Amino acid sequence: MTRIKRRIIIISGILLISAGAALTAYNVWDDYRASRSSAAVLKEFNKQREQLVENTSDKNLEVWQEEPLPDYLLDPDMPMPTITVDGYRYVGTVAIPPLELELPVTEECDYDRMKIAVCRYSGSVYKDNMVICGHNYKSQFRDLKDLQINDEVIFVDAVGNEFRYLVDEIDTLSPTAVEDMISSDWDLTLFTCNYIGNARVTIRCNRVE
Amino acid sequence: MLDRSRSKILAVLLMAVFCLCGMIPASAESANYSLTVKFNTESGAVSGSEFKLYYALTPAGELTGEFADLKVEVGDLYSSEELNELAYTLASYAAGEEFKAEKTVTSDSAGKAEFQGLPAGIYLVSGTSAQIGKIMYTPKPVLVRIPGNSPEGETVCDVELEVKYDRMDIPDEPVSRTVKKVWEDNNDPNRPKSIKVELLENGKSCDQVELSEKNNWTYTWEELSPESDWQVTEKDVPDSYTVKITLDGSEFTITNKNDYTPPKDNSDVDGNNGNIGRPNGPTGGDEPKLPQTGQLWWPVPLLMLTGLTLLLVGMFVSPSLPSSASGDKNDQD
Repeated sequence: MTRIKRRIIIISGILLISAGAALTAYNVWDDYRASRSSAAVLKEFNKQREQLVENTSDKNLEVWQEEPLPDYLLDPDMPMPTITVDGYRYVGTVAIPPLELELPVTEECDYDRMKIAVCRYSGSVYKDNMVICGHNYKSQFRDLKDLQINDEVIFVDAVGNEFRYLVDEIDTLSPTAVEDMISSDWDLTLFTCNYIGNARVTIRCNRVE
Repeated sequence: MLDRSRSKILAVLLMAVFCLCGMIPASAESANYSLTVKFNTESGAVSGSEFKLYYALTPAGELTGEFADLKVEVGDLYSSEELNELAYTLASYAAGEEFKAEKTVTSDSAGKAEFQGLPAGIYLVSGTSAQIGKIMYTPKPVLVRIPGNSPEGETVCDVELEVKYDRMDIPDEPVSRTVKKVWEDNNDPNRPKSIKVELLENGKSCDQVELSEKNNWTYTWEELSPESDWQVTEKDVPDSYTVKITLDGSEFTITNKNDYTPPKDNSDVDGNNGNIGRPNGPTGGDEPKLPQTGQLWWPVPLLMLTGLTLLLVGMFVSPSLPSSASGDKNDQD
């Protein structure tokens, strides 16, 4: 092997290692950026939600009836209320206590929104068929695979209604299994990509009272 | 025989009495309840506000009396926002149509107006504005169920109601009020070409205008007294429509709604909760795919390992290879 060939091999090695390091740095930075964005949205969302809940509580309603029924029980087909933060509408927050996660959930789903928060992919929490997807950022759904059966997941909508779930099944679906993902009998589904990106880690949950 | 006839007559009479009992209006039922309206602002208790109490809905939630003829959607009576909108609409018509109030009481120095001897029902409470200094306080109309329920589920016979209010600094200049028409009828082709709106000053009719596409279904009254109560009503609400009146600042919105369903088209409806934007997978093609939710981590170990191998080969392994040894020799030559 000539000296030139050796140099070419060494330089190639250095370039590949540099590319790997650069990609790692970008991923770490992107994760950090997403966690900052998500935390900022969560803070503003929670602030607005508290104001909304405070404003809609009505002392006169206390004498009006024994226990006011939430609107979603009267009309499960109603659109989920939203709160707008920085131009995007959010339908609520999803909390996963075993992973110490609490994230805002956007009303719609696209790649721009997924850079900030997790997204409602389909369905409605009022109809017990909501599907939420998120990036496999460490600050989002990367650790979904570590959840165990009966772990708790909590969703709180934009007007303060709380819905509690327990993990019932952990599954892996192919990227083309759209119907399987959205047409299931589970009350709540969370999904994200696996490490390689060729499958979707899917968490199926059932609601508990 | 005579006894049998008497029995029949008695039975008929008893049936008549029962029927009449069923027709007796709620106002004739036991009138044991009371309502105390409290009008307190940040400036203190407001006295001199005239509160009118209307028996608007039966305990079952059906419009009654003069209100029964209004084309107003009552709804389920659970949402506080809907209740407030219904109360505002009913109060506007109660003033515009000069409905007879059950009772009228003026708030005393403690800001209280007490109504005694009320039968069960759902009442509309409507009060006039009161001026304190250069500030006008206008109580918001409210619907209240008599008797009420405590949070513990107990019946409350003597209901106390703290009215909410709008606060407005009285300007030196005349004010304006705008009315806007909203149709919630899925573009019903039978929608009326125009509607009539009446402006009320302190409950008395003072003007009437027509809204249509020509004026973009909106109208603004200028040069109005800032010290008056201003309300609007829609005259002759079109058949098959209901009416709702709301006020936001100085703008009234009159909403007419019906159940018209447009012919179905072939648009793609989600079926879950309207159309939800969804990204398709990254590979394109006709087959729908779940979104790509992964960071690009898999190339990292591949790049690192390959790079490290090449580095090691270049630095240590290659000199020991026979071909490279001769090459090196040639290089040295």
